[in-house]
Order: sequence, then C-alpha cells, then structure tokens
Amino acid sequence: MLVEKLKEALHEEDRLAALYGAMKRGRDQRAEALEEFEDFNGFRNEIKAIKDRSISNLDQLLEEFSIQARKKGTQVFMAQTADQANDYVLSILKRIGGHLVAKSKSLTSEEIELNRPLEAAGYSVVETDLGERIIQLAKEKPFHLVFPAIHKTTQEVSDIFSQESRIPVNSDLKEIMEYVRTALRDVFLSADIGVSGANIGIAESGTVVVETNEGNGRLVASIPKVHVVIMGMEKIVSTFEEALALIRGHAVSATGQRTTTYVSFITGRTPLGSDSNRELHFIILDNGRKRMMEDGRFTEALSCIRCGACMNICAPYSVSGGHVFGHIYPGPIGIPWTANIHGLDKAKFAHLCFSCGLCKEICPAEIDIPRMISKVKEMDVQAEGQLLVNRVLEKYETMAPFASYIAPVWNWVMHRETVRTLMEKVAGIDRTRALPQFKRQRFSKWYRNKRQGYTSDTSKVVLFVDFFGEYIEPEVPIALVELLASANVDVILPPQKTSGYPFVAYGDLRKAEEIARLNVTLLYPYAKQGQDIISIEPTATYSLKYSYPDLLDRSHESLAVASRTFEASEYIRKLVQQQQILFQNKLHGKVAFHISCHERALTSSKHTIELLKGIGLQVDIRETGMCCGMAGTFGLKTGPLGAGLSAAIGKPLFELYKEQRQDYISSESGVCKLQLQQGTGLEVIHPLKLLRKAIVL
Amino acid sequence: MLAPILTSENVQTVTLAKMSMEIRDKVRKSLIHANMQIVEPKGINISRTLSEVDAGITLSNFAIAETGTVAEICHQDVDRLTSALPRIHICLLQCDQILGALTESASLLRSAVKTYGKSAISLISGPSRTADVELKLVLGVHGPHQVHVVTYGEE
Repeated sequence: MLVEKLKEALHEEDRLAALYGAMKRGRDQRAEALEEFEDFNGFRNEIKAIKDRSISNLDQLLEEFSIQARKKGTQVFMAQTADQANDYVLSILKRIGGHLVAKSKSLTSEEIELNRPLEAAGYSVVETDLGERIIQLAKEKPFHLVFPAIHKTTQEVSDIFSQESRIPVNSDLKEIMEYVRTALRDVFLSADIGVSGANIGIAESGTVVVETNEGNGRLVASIPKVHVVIMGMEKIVSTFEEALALIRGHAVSATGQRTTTYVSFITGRTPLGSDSNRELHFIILDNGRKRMMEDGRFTEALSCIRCGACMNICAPYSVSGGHVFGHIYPGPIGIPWTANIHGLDKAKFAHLCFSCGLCKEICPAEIDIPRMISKVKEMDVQAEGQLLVNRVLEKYETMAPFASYIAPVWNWVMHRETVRTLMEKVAGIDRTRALPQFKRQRFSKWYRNKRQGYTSDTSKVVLFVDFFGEYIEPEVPIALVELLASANVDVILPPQKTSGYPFVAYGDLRKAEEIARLNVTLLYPYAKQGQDIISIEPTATYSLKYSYPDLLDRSHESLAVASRTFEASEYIRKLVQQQQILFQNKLHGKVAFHISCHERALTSSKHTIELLKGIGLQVDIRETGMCCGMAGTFGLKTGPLGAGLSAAIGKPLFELYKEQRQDYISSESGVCKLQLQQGTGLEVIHPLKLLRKAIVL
Repeated sequence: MLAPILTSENVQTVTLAKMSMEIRDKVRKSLIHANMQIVEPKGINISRTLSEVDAGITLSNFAIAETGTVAEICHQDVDRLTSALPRIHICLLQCDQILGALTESASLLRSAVKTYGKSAISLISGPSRTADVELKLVLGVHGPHQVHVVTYGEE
C-alpha cells in the first residue's frame, strides 16, 4: 500500500517540482528570519524550556486554566476522546438550532475529523482558511501542517473554485482571493457557530491565543453567536511571557515572519452591540496525549509547536508529499503523533524516513524526532516483522570481513549482471546501484604493519574507524594516521565493531543496543583514562556522541565515551592551530563540498571546511538544504521505497555539481560519496586525503 | 491626514470604533469635511452593516516597533469588527505608546485582561495575507487589504 502510493507520487513530476520549490521557499524564508536572531540556540533553548516546563506541569496548568476561563464565563469541556469532542459540538448545534458552522484552521479538528459527524448529521461546515478550503473542496487531507494545500498549483486552485461557483475563476492569485473573500464573507455573516483551534492557552488568565494571517480567525471568533475553541491539552502554558515567546517562535519557524499578522488573545466572550448573551466554549482534548506524556518514549512529541519546519527539510517528504508521508498529521513529527493518536497501523509511513536526522536539527523545540521515529519503526517491526531487504542490509556489515578477505572475487561476483539480478529478486538490493567495492587490505591489517618511528614523547589518540574506513577506503584512515604522525601523535586502534547505525535506521533497536553496548565497553577504558577518541565517519561520530547514550539509557560509560569523542577534523585543526601539523604544500583550485546530514548535528563540517581553506583551496558549499538521498543503505534497496526515492531526492543536488565547474568534489561521508559519485558520474575525494597531500612526511 | 488617504482610495462610507470624545470629534470633523458618510452600526445586523462599510477607523492601545504591530484591546466586538471587516483599516496611534519588542508587551496584556475580564485583544501587523497557494504571498484575504497607521501627539 505504502509502496504503491509512493510509486504514484514519484511519477507526478509537476507536483513534485511545485512542492520542492515551495519547501525551498519555506526554508529560505525561515533562514532569513533567523538571521535576525543573534543566538539561534538561545531562541531554541527558550522554546524548549517553555514546552518542557509546561508539559511537566500539565495537570496543574490545566486546572488553573479551567478555573480562570470559567471565571470569565467560558464553558470548559475536557474531552478524553475524539468522539466526546465531536459529540459536544453536535450537542451545541442541536441546542441552539443552528445549521451553519464556519471554521478557521484547526489541525486538532482535523485530528478528530470533526467535519465528518457534523456533516453526517446534516449540518454545513465551511473551512474558511484558504488552504483548508481548497482541500475541503478537493476532499483531501492536509498535505502540510502549515500549508495544507501546498501541493496545488494556482491553476488547480482556480479549477476547484470555478467548479464550486459554476462561474469561471481565472488562474490569477488576486482574482482567486477576490472570489474567496466574497464567497466566504457570507459564510462568516450567517454562521451559527464559529469553530477555531488555538495556538496557545494561557493558564494565568484562562485566555486562548489564535494566530492567523488571513483574518478569518478574528471573524469566526467574533461574528457567530457561539465560538467553540478546540485545543490539544499540550498547548497550555503558564504566563503571557511564555505565550509571547512562542508567538515569536511560531511565526519565525513556520513562515519566516516576525510575527503572524493577527494574534488574538481571547478571554471570555465579548458582547456584540447590545447582544451579550453569547457563548464561548473551550474543548480541551486529550485523545491519547496523556498516554504519550506518560510513555517516556514519546513525551517529547508534545513539545511540537506545529510550525512545520521539519517537513520543509525532510527529503523523503519532499518527493512523496503529505498524503504518502502522513496520515492526518504529515511529515516527520507526524510519525510519532500518528502512531500514538491514530494507531500504529496508520503510521506505516515511518518506513519512508531514512534517519538523516535533519528534522531534529531544524526543530525550534529541539525535539529528537529521529529517536521517536526509530521507536515507531521498532514497534512496527516487532508487530509485523522486518523486511528481508532491511535484514540483508543490516547484515551487510557483518559479511564485510569475509568479503574483504576474498575482495577481488567478491567484487567480481558483485559486478555480474546475473548475480545482481538475483540479489534484486531474492534480497531486494537494487541492481542498478553501485555497491561499495571491498579492499583486500583492510585498514586494521595495514595498521598492524604500520611504520613505527614516533619519538618517545609521542601522545596517543584512540581511533574509531567504522565500515567505510575499515573495508572500502582504508586510504582515508591511513591519511589520518599520517597526518597525526607528522605531529608525532600515535594512534591506538582498540578492537571495535562498526557503528551499527543501520539497525537504528531500520528500527531494530535491540540489535543497535547490543552493538552500542559492545563498542562502549571496548572504548570506555580509554575514555576513563581521559584518552581522546576520534572518529572519521560523521554517522559513526553521531552514533558515539548521541545514539549510544540514548540506546543505553544514558549510562555513565556511554556518556563518558560520548564526552571524549571528537571529529577527526576537530582534532587535526587543534594540532594545526598549535603548529604541530604544518601544511607545507599548498593546493589550488575549488572544492565543491557536500555536508553530510549527521554533520549538521555535529559541527556542519566547520573544522573540515576551515582546514581545506587552510591548505589553499577555495571551498564552495553546494547544498540543496536536504539529505543527498542515499541515507545509509536506504538507497540500495530496489523499488520506490529505496533506489526510486533516493534517485528522486538526489536529482536536484546532482544538478548543482553537474552545472558548475570545480576541481574537486568532497564530502566526509562514505555514503554521500557513493550517492554523489553515482549521481554525477564525477569522482568524490575525502577531505582527509586532500589534507594529506598538503603535508610532507 | 485622514481625508487624503480615504479620498485617494475612493472611500465613501466610514465607521469609527470606540475612542475618546476629543479624538472622535476631531476625526468626525475631518470626515464630514471630506464628504464621507459616517455609519453607526446598530441593531441585529451589525456585522452586515460593518461588512459593507468601505473603511474602519480604530484607536490602538499600544504598538510594537520590532514587529510593526498595533494592539487593540476590545470589550465590544463592534470595535473588533471595525478593524476586521472593511477593506481599509485606519488605526490611530498615540506616539508615546510604542514599545520596543513584542515580548515587552506581556505586562500590558496581563493588566488589560485583569482589569476588564472579558476581552478580545488583537495584535495586528499589516493587512491580511496568505501564502497558501504555492507559498506565494498575496495581500488582502478576509481582513483589510490596506492598513494605515496614523500617529498623533508628541514623541
């Protein structure tokens, strides 16, 4: 089902191009707005602190909020389930004898699918937010959290409204707006009930905050006799100060505005003219939130401020869209929400995530979305079993010692058309994808025979090599050892396993945990002695620093290893700054550089880039802002949910390298290298190899 | 100052939200002088009446420099709708009521809610807008297409 939907989505090229452009505009506008903040981390920390504090005091805040709201004459209803919330709205409509409901945008009402029971009971429900109205007429679900109709072109929108009105509405944005204003004005004026969501609830005064850009929120809240607010319980904060910080966060992170055009603070129901007999209802929705709060694995999801930034940076979302990569809640954060609110069976799209980790990096509340997604994958794998292809890819690394031992034969066999066809049929490894070529001389073998000749005052550093360095391109760790040797720093290579990150990516968390424990046990004695550990592969560094502590319940040993782990580039740069490594040969020309996703969580290749500049190269960072698409072993899988997705994602990035000239293409990640080389047909060189050229041994 | 804006936009009917008698009188005078019709919404069709008016004039309680925001504290939805329904919104703002940053408004918001109990406070930052189609910005959807802020008094 997921695969078919994806296959269809990948074929809609116009739609993909429109989505891609829109997402890019979203990211760019956000980045521009963020430039005004001197301190992005301070901004994130503030939002995260407010949400964390509010979620942990939720019971108390809920009580205070209700008391204050009731004091102002607001009727407060706690709905445990979607049905209870829907029935409550129905009962109001019955009591007042109304027939028309005007809604401003509310994702929470989408969550409970409010329109369905209301329409079934014969009431008319009209969405008044433009994007929501478009998808309501098209009978679709939201494609994006903030921009529900982001996938519709102007032409499609004009067609939808022309069909509604039976008079042609031209494919011109101004004209469309004029039509929408006129058509919906009458709805606002005749509605019996206005339904809105709420972005924030303020406990100290029983106030809700409703933010809109179109101005529809103000109209549904003021004209109809009854205003109903549907709000998830996680939206409540304590004070106006906290609310204002979130208001700023919403706008900056969602649309790159300094503030949303209209921010309404609604406290009790104000009269209209002489009519003071008007009602305000707050429906506060649980619908699984309490359970999420108590389930430590998913508590963090409740810190989501619904800005949609995570979907603007999600590569699989960019080529599949919110109808495939989503149920009602789309995108990365939609995965834990869907699994908890709508059920695990609706959260299958979790398998479209390939764990690049960028959603965490962009999230204004710093939510560890990738960690929660891997939990959802694990739950699904436990319920339904693991796909064979994922099992094969997870095992790929365990076959490596053997493959390396017989490297020439293995590589020859793996090149045979018949073998690849067979592998595709049996194991699901795409036959068109280049597989990494094994080297006969593994790094650890070279290391055993490496030349000695360090002086007696040598210092030592522990090396974590990982898969690519050990089996595929030992020249990279060799270059590193030689760079260090030039500064009289010796390398210790303790026994170690490769990082095991594929197990995290494919949701086999128990196996991931085993490997984490093994590597931490092997490295801890060094960390304990205060020995630095350096790692080359960004994913491995990310594992050591972030994934292992998570997998091992933040054990003392895992945290000790994490705190002593450094990127090789950072270590080298320190030695350069101390003038222990001297770059005597200068290189010339331009390096087009790709920053791997896991680097974003580390230093965004800051040290490497500075080092490359230091040896005389001009560095041109060439990015789409998203993952390159190979994402570990994901791109090796045959079919849409693998090579298909990977190729579609990579396309815009490959163009950047093919269109412009450069002397070198470089990236720190072995997987990005494979993807870029196959996509561009050009050679990709590891930065350590470039640095090696600059020293004289 | 008001008349030229209204005349250039071809405004014929105007409505005024709650404001002090002194300011109201001044505004009325200049409107009458410019041949504008002043509409006083009353009765059960208040919203419809307001919806047909060309321009609404309101008084802002305070403003925020960082975000270009005017704040309106309302206890009566006629006032709220005056800045929500007409195509043109003119907001009067006393010069010494401008705060620096959005976050500085917390205590004003708190005291407004405490003092008046039931209230609707709107922070308004420009005309209504949407980017819902292809993320392309268009001004003027359900709310005003134009917002003019007219400052008065001494800085």
